[in-house]
This record gives sequence, structure tokens and C-alpha cells, in this order.
Amino acid sequence: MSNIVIDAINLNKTYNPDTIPVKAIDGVSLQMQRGEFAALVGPSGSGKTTLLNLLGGLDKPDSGSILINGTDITKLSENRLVDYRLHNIGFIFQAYNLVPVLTARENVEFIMLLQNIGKAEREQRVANLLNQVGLGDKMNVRPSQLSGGQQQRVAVARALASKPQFILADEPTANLDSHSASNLLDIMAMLNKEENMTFIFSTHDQRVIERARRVITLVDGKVTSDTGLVKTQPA
Amino acid sequence: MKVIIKIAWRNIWRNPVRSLVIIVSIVLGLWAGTFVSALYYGMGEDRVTIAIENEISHIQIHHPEYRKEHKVKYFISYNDTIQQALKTTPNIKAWSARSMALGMITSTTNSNGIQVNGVDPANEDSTTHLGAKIIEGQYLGSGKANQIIVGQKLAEKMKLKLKSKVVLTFIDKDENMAAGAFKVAGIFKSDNSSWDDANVFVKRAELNPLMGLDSSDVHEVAVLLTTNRLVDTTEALLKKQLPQYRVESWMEIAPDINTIISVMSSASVIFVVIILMALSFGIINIMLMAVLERTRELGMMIALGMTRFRVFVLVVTETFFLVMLGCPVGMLAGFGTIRYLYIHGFDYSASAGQSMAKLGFKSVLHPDLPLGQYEQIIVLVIITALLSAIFPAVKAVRLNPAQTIKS
Repeated sequence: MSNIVIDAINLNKTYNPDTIPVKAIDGVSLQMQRGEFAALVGPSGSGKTTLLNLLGGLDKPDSGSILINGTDITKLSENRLVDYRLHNIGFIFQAYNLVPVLTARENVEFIMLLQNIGKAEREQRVANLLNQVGLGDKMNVRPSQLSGGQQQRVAVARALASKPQFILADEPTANLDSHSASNLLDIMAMLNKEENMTFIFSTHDQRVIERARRVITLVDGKVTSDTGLVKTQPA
Repeated sequence: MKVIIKIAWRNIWRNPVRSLVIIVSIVLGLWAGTFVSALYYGMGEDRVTIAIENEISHIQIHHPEYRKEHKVKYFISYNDTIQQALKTTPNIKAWSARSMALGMITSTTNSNGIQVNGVDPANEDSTTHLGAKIIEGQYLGSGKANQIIVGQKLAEKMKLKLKSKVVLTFIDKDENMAAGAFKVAGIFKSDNSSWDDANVFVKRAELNPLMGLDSSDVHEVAVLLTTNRLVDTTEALLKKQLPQYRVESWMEIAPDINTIISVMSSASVIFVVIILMALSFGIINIMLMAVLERTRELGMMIALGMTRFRVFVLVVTETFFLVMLGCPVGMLAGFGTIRYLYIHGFDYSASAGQSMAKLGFKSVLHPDLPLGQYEQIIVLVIITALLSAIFPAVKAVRLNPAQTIKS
């Protein structure tokens, strides 16, 4: 079985093609192996978030294909794509984006309820995940009562809850202080190491870049440098 | 579904003031809808009751030609056949046999077009309770001759008092002019001032000779039943027994009353539709606000793998919860108001009592609404609310997760 999780081939994406065209992604091709801990870097407007959105199936490229474990997600219907995201991709967003009316436990459980996972398994997995991210004592607390760092750790647990193929994180440390950011990176590195979970970040944060084992630089929608496919040695 | 219900329920309490606004709108909408419907329904029922109990009764029997021309010559014989049929048919409470003529009443100062009703006082009283409507003087008695009772409106118009002398003029059986002098014995007042203005009552035994009729000849037999529900059945039974006569129900005799009820029913429906439309715009506005405030959150849910159908259901469920919170309170408020006014009456005599009395409506209304109509209003409100939720829900469904998460 191939170790390649993502195989993006010649992706192109232009916004406002009929008015003021902005080429957000310009012929990007890249492969990601299972267990990578990779950072997409580049200046603002370089196409990092667009590329993450394309890889996560939140947006469709104008041309090119994205094979995830051999399935070309650009050819999936909207409903199939939603289902594909649910079962294969974990998301961590810059602004945490937890459901404010649900507790930490319920936020993590939310995605498993969408997957129709049984109660016993859900409860066990929620407890394990929140313990893993150090929030075992905050299970019944709502996001508004958690710090930014704690909310982002809940988001990590939620991303892991669906047992995805890989996790896409869009500037996950951007809103965190240095202590929380470091703490979060430790957790993600630990999950990468212990669970062999693939993480792909978009980031400006030097601390994240330093911890990444692969750094892909984007400028004006093109990959200008890539430290390359590296062996997925535990961080 | 469980998670959607949980999120929907908690979402409605995220902004309690906003939710309360919509709940209060639903309560007021339901209250107003039920109350107005009950008011119109009660008015319609009252009008029917007045018409049946005081004026036309449930069923009438005439000569086949009488209702076309109202000529004295179209009389029927109030004979054993009719009396036997009325005695043997079930559910008949009372009846009154009347001889009638369209004519003029003339006093020393004035004259007016009227319908002269020649009645047997006891039977008329048990059928239309005419005796109970006497407000001045006395009902037609057996002692004195040539007594007449007139309506209050007519008495005022013609300046008639008790013992005033009047002359009734009409066309007799042979189409000759006939006249008779009568003395006002009593003045009556019913709930329908127009009817009071147009009808006078004398004894049939005194009217018939003037019209050239035998004492047993009549133009109309008005039949009062024990209940409104048996009109059709009893009408059919009487028609079978009296095929030579024209037997009709109040709905055929007074289609105008049915028309009034239909108009009221339509007016009530229009009012309810206006209320529902106002409610609908309120719900669309508030739910749209709730969706637009949460675009990032809803976009995130779609991004994580929540189907757009589930997002749609989430918004509709939130609306449903708001309606379900408002519905019982609104219905209770409506029911309570209606019951209170049904028992104590809603007196609008100070505002429109006189003009409504001309149309045959009581000045004290008793709003009423059958249980089935409460159910209909609840169903209509729920349907309206759910339909109103569609636009905000579609707005939520169309969110682009990639854009909303970034916003």
C-alpha cells in the first residue's frame, strides 16, 4: 500500500475570473506522506489558505486533481465531498471555531455524532482525546469559559475525533500567546509521533516553522521551495 | 438528529431577548387570531340564533307559490294533515301558523310599509318568544279585540304610544283593498331593529276575515326544532309527509344570513392571514438575523462534515422550538379571553351597537370557537413558522464554508 496520503497535481485556482482575476494557486503539485508534520509558509496572499481549502475539499480548483488515498476529491459531488471530509479530514481553524453552545466534551463528540458512532465508543474516545490534550478536567465547560489555548486544544481533539487521514490546520497558533502556542505544538507533535497522524499547517509563526519537518513555501500561488518529502521520523 | 435538537434548543437561548421577541409575537399572533376568529364565529352564531329563535324558525311551510309573490291568495289550509305531520315528526319543539300580508300601517300623523302577521298568540310566543320581547304594554291577549303590537323602532318612527290607533291597509284574497283599525297594545324590541321596524302582529282570528280568509287559512307555518343540528333530517321528513306544500329550511328562506356568515368567515380568514403574514415576516427577520450572525459557525459545521440538509433542519428546528414555546401560551391566552367573554359577554353597544342591531346582531357578543378551529389555527401557525424558516435555512445552506470560516 502506498504511503502517499495526498497527491495534488497541477492545481490552479483563480478568484474573480470575470472581474479582477486573482490567481491564488498557480500550477501547484505536491505529495504528502502519512505521518508528515509539514508547514505551508509564505507571505499574506501567497495562497496558503486557498491551498489548504483545496486539499480539505472546502473549495474546488479550476483545474488539476487532488487524490486522497487514490480518490480524486475534485470529482466528488457536494454531498459525497461533505461525507468524505467527515470521515477523512480533520480541521483546525485559526479562530478555534468551536460550537459555543456545546461543552468541550460535546464539541469533540459532535463530529462522532455526525458519523453515527455508538454512545459507548464516543464517550471513551472523547475522554481519551480530551485527556490527551490535557483538558480531562474541562470536559463539561463551554468554550466561552476556556482560554484561547484551551479552545484550540479542544479543536485539536475534535479534529482527531473522526480518526481522519490527515489534519489541516490554518494558522492554528495565530491567536495564541507563546506559552499556549508552544503547548499546542507539543500536543500536535506528540499526536504525530504517537498516532502517526499527518499534520499540514499554514503558518507565519516561526515557532511552528521550526518544529515542522517539512516546509513548503508559497509565493504568488506557486511553490517556490519545498524541503521535500522527508522520511516520517517521529519529531 | 439528537445533536441537532440539542444545538437548536441551546441556540434559541443564546440571545434570550431576541427569542422572547419572537415568542411574544407568536403568542400575540395566536391570541389575536383565535380571538378574532371567535368574535366572528360568535357573531355569526348569534345572528343565526336570533334569526331562528326570533324571526324565521328552523323550517317554514308555505303554499308553493307564496314565496315567489307573497300574495294573500296563496294561502294554505292549516288542517289536520299539517298538524298531524308536525305532531308526529320528532324533534319539533313548537310551531306557529301565521296569516300574512304586505301592507301599510297608518297613524294620525304617519304611515309606513310593513308586514302584517296574524298569529295565534300562544303558539307564536312559544315559537318566537314574542311575549318576552314586550318592553311596554302587553302581549296580544284574548280579552280585547283588535289589538296590535308593534316594534319599538316603528313606534318611535310613527310616534305611536300604547292605545294609539292605527289602520292597516293591504290587498285581500280577491286582490281588493282591505283595511282594519287596531289599537296598540304593546311595543316589542328584538335584537334586530330592522325586523322590528318591518313587522307588526295581530291575532290571526281578527286578520283573516279582513283578508277574506277562513279562520284555518294561513300563509306560513314556522317550525322550531329542539336543535339546529336536525334541520336537514326534519326538513326531509316533513317534505315527505307534506309533498303538496313548500317545506324549506332557514338556509333556503334566508340565504342572506348564510351570506353574512360566509362573509364573516371570509373576513376572519383574511384577518388570520394578515396576522400569519406579519408573524411570518417577523420570523423570517429574526431567523435570518440568527443565521447571518452565525455564518462562521454554520460554515464550520459544513466544513467538518455536517450535510447541508442537516444545517437546514437545524435552522428549521430552532424555529419550531420557538413556535412550540409560543403556541401553548398563545392558545391559552386566546382560550382564556374567549371563555371569559363567552360567559360575561363583550358589550360593544357604545361603539357600534345600533348599526349592528340594524343588521340583526346583538350588542353584547359572545365570542366562541369550536375546538376544531383552535386546532386549525395551531396547525396554520406551525406551518407558517416552518415555511418562514425556509428562507433563512436556505441562506444557511448556501453558505460557502471556505469563505465564512475566514470571515
